[in-house]
Amino acid sequence: MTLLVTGISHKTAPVEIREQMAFPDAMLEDSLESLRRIPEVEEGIILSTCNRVEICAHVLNGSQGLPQIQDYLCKVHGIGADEIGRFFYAYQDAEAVAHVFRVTASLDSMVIGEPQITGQVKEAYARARKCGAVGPVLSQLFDRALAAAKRVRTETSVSESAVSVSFAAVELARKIFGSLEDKVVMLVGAGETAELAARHLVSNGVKTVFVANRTYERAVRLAQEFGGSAVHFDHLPQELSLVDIVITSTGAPHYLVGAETVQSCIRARHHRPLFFIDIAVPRDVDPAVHEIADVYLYDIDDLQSVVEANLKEREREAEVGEKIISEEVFKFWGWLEARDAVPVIVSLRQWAEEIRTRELEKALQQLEPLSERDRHTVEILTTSIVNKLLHTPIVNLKDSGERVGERGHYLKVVRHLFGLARKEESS
Amino acid sequence: MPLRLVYYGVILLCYLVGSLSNWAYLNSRRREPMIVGMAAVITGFGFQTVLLAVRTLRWGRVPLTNFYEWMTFFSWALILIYLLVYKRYRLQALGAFVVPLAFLVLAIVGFTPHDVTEFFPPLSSVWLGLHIFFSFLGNAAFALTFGVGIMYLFQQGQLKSKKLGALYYRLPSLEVLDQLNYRSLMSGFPLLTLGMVMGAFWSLHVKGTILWDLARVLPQVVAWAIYAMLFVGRLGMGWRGKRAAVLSVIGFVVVVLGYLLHTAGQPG
Repeated sequence: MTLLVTGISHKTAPVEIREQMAFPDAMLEDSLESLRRIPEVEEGIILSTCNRVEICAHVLNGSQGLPQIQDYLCKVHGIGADEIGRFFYAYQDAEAVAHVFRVTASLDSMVIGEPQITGQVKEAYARARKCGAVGPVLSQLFDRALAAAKRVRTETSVSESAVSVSFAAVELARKIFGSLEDKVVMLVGAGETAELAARHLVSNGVKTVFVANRTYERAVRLAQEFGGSAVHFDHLPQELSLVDIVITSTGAPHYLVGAETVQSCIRARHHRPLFFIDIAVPRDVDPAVHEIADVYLYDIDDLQSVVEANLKEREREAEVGEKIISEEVFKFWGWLEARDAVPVIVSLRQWAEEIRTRELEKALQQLEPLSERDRHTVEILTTSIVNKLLHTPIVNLKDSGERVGERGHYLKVVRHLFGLARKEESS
Repeated sequence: MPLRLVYYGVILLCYLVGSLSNWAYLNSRRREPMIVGMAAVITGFGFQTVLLAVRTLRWGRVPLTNFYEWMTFFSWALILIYLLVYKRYRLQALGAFVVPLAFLVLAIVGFTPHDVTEFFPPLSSVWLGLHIFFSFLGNAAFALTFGVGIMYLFQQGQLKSKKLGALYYRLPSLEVLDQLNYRSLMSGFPLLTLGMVMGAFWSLHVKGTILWDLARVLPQVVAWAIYAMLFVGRLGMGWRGKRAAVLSVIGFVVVVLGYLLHTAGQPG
């Protein structure tokens, strides 16, 4: 019995390859069916997203199962193995488990910590389960992978900091204002990123939105979308003292907001902070504005570098996530080996019991006929000798050991020493 | 070794562990140092509370008669306020700025001679007792204002420089820090004022004049004036943000300098 993961991802294959290998939604159930028909495959799950296509399978024999599954991946998409063979990665057993856990926890993602992948894994698992492609091992594996992903999400801040410009703007606003509930936003101009940032602000609690645009009708239309109100473009300087966050993205060739305007405005506001998000290129707000106390101005480059800082922060958090993953891998592996230990323990007991009864029969034939009571005593004697001899080895087999794979190794040794492998196969 | 010193050592150790864990938390954001830090601070605080209670019961008065006792009480009040604020705001970064202060105060008094005998005969006066009690409670609140002010300046520095480091992620928003600055000022200032009034009464009563020792009284008055300015500025003129944070920090530095002078002139 072996656990296998093989496939391609953004780390190994370019998008041209990934798109050829993707499983369209409609094809997934049939594909799971045909995956199950591969002789070596006991259980299987297909994960197909825009960044990765991979199969996780529980197979009878790893060295035969792996080429069969990779063959299957090529054939099902009508691509030659020589063409894509070099893009494949493959993991076995504990490494495969770690890979599934890392993928599910979004530690293997292009943008570390992005939350979609966990949902996609959940969906792939549910689909495979519905088709009956999942048995006890994979269902345990994926249940635990999802639980581990949840641990990583709650115990680290790997998914917390913003990785898009518009979200980074919202996050900065929160670091300045705390709650955004009673804050007022003004959207000047209507670039796509600016609108997106405004939308994020609204979904983070902002209730009042003003929209200013060169064409007043456009402003009215956009304001309706946000449930806000339109403002005449010429009234911009007066309106500034009423708002807390200003998002600008006009096509104006010169600064719309100068330092002097803001200086007088911040005095009128009694130094309540004012946050400018200038997404326009060329810029709409004079950079000197940032020098004014309690005024913060971030342009598109600043936001970009915030995103980069956030990505680094996520990488640092991912290191902690990796530690959680290795703990969970260890636990799962313990469960899997305990499961493997059961048949070994059973056949070890059978082996001993057979010897005991055989030898007892022989001895009883050679002895004078025993009374019922003496016979009973001899039975108990032999049974307890066997049980005492086997007690410690069995307890140790049930114990998970200190390292991944340690018990697997012991199981092999026990099978070999007592000749159990042959028995298990023949039975 | 007297039992008092053992207690003192345990409390000091607890606050040291609390400070280090809180710093570790700021740098790593792991839950473990946070938990260790909180446990250490609560343990230290528990010991300190017991010690204060025992002394009060044994001598039948609040132990506020000498420099050692004042500072012990100050660090106790500081931790009490920290725990209360933590319970209310869940500001995990605060510990890194407040617990080290309590540790430092305790460590400093450890190196000064501290006789348990009363060295200041008129101390039995109720006025003086109340003066000291309220002043130190007020100053503990200002220590919090100081810590929060530093946090504000750090966070603002990050946002202004646009270079976001670990502190940007760990520290709360400017608004929350400003609010906390406001609230601790609002509770600290009336307490300090009350303490000053009590001190003036005592002074009149015992010495016959308020300004009996300018070197001791002046820094107190200066600190009070700074806080009064901040108090009025915040309430009446809408002061806030950086100005409030800077004044809170300066105010507390003056308080500390004042106490050093205050006690330097102390007999004993």
